[in-house]
Amino acid sequence: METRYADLIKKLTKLTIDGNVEWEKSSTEWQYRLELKSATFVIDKMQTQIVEGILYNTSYELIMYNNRNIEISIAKETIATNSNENSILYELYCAAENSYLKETETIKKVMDELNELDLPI
Amino acid sequence: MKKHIKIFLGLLFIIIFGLIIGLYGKYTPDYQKNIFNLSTLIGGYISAYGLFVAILQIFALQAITQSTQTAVKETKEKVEQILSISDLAKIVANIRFIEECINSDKYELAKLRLCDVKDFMTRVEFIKRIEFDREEFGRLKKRVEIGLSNLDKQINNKGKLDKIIFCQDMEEVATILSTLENQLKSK
Repeated sequence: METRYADLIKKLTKLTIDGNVEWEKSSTEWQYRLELKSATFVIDKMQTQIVEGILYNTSYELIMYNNRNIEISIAKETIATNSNENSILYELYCAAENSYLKETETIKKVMDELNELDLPI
Repeated sequence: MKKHIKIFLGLLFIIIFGLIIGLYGKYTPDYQKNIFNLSTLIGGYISAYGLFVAILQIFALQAITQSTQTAVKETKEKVEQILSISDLAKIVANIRFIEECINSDKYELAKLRLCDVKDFMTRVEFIKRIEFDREEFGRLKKRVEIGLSNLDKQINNKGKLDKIIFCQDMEEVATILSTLENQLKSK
């Protein structure tokens, strides 16, 4: 992967985790999009079956649409199911998913609320 | 040239002609009164008057040409506007049809119609006399492009289309196009 693309992915991941940009659900399953003024980013997760019902390869792809609506593939990575490696695209995907679902934030709020209820009177 | 101007010019010709003949009869010494002098005078008058009328006609023609050009331009703009309104209405109907296709799993047909929507959205930017948020419009154009790519994935079994999000995106496109249609209608 080119350094400029890796830098871009890391920057997007950091901004997403910090909550400075917000991803939305896109029109395909396991796909999220980020609309910026200068471009729109789409991150996709795809699963390919290797052995029926057992093994899957998971691919992540980041695509950028420029202002002339041209599709530019930034990066694509495939991770085997039994692999423990974490790619930068996987991190971005997780951050994007969390940015849309707000799972971490909601769980934290719920825990705070539950803790308040649990206080001894 | 209008009829009343023609009548006026005709009367003017006769009056001046009479005046010249009168002045000729009154002030020309008798020894100079002959057919040659009279014909020279009349000929000169007719030539001068003819030149005056010709100049008037040139100006009148110029005015007619200008007003014709303005009328043609106005008509053309009006026709373009009517066409734009009907095109916008047609494309909004097309979007509704795409949503129906998606809900009944007719993805190939939806893709064909979505290509029309995409082409039309490119054309919209060239329609004069409409104002819109170009940034927002560009964002929606990208969504249409993503929609096309996702329809491709669905057709080739490379991904599963999220019908709800897809239709929501289409609705946003339909809304902005309807706003433009109303804007054109109100002009």
